[in-house]
Amino acid sequence: MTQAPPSGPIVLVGGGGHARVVADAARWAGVQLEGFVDDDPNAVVPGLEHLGPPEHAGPRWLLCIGHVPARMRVLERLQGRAHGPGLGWVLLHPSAILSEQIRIEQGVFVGPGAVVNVGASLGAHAIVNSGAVVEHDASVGPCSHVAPRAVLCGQVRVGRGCLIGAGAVVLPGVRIGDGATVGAGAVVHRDVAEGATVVGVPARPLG
Amino acid sequence: MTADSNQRRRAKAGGWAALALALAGGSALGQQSVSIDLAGVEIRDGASVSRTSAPDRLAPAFAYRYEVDGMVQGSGLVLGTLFPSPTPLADALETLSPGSSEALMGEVLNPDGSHPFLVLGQTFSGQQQLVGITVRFEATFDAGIDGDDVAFFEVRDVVLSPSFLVGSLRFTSGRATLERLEDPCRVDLDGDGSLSLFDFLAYQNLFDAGDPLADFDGDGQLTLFDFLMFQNEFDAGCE
Repeated sequence: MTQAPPSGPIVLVGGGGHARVVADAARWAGVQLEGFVDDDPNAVVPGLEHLGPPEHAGPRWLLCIGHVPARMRVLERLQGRAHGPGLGWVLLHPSAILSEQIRIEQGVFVGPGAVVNVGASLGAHAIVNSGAVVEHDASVGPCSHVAPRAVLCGQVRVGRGCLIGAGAVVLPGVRIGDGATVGAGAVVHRDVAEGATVVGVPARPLG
Repeated sequence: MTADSNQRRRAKAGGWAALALALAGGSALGQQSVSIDLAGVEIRDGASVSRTSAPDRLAPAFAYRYEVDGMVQGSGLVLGTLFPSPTPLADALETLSPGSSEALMGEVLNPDGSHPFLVLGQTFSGQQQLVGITVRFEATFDAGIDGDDVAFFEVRDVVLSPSFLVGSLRFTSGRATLERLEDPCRVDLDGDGSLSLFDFLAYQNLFDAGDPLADFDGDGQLTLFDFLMFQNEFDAGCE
């Protein structure tokens, strides 16, 4: 068995705006929270105790950092802890609509009003934020963030550590390479290379 | 009966059994213990799975010891995250239904000394928040011996809900073992607490009927040596 006790209150990792969104979702979902951790000693999440830097997260936690590079750095710190990484908790907002034919890995957050449709898969520590849509057979890679109201059409493949900006639309079958960024409101009709940033309608590489 | 006298009786029985094995004929009646292989058994929502010891059989007894043991591996979000590699069944059950693993082994009396007999009939249940998912678990484990002396183990009426998030558990190895326990005063066949002519007559009836309970030396056959062993134990008495 993993080292983490399988049940009990969890710690939010991060003390910014996304952490407040997740804290609110946790209350709706009836998930008990122990507190939050953040490198910034002045960070505040209303109603939650600041427990110290991320290494103090304990065995049950949920990454609550929307900025993807920062999210990946903190995840590495959690996984490198001397006493073991613990478990990334899943939090599904009660208003999210989920098909029963999907695949989810640990540490996933699905926000209010999001839709994850049949055949979709969400990699470990992925975010499907408020009102986002992950259509049939689409996949979101580990640690990637599908921002509010973004739409991944059928069979889209999003790699590891990507950001799909708010309101962006990725058309059916398009592949988004690892570490790529899609700007807010972009409409992506072609594959995006690893690490690239695309913006606009239709989306084009930045610079 | 004291431990000393029991040991004395068993020592005698062992001697007779060796002689009987060497000399006796007769039909095979059953074994002292049987194991049922559980490798590959999957515990998933809606499942009912059954395995038997066939062709091995277990001779009837007045008491049995049982144990269900093995390693399970999870798949799916919750069980795959919690048990990504082979994990003791007891640990997995404790996670899903705290306090339940004690039921995986024990001893039970079979007052009639006959089959069919249910040795284990345990329903496990629990509701836990695991990996962020509220998991409802229920499953019934049955183990026993059917009317043909074949032992069985069954997992039935499994609820693992919500199944698409919880996943399933699969035995990578394991066995359910059922073992006969010697009755502390097995010559008191009428169970009245004293040894009398009626116990003698009862044994004679069992023997004549070819009942496995008359197999006192436990060699799987009914021979003169069973009768002699009964007589010896009867003479030694029960304390």
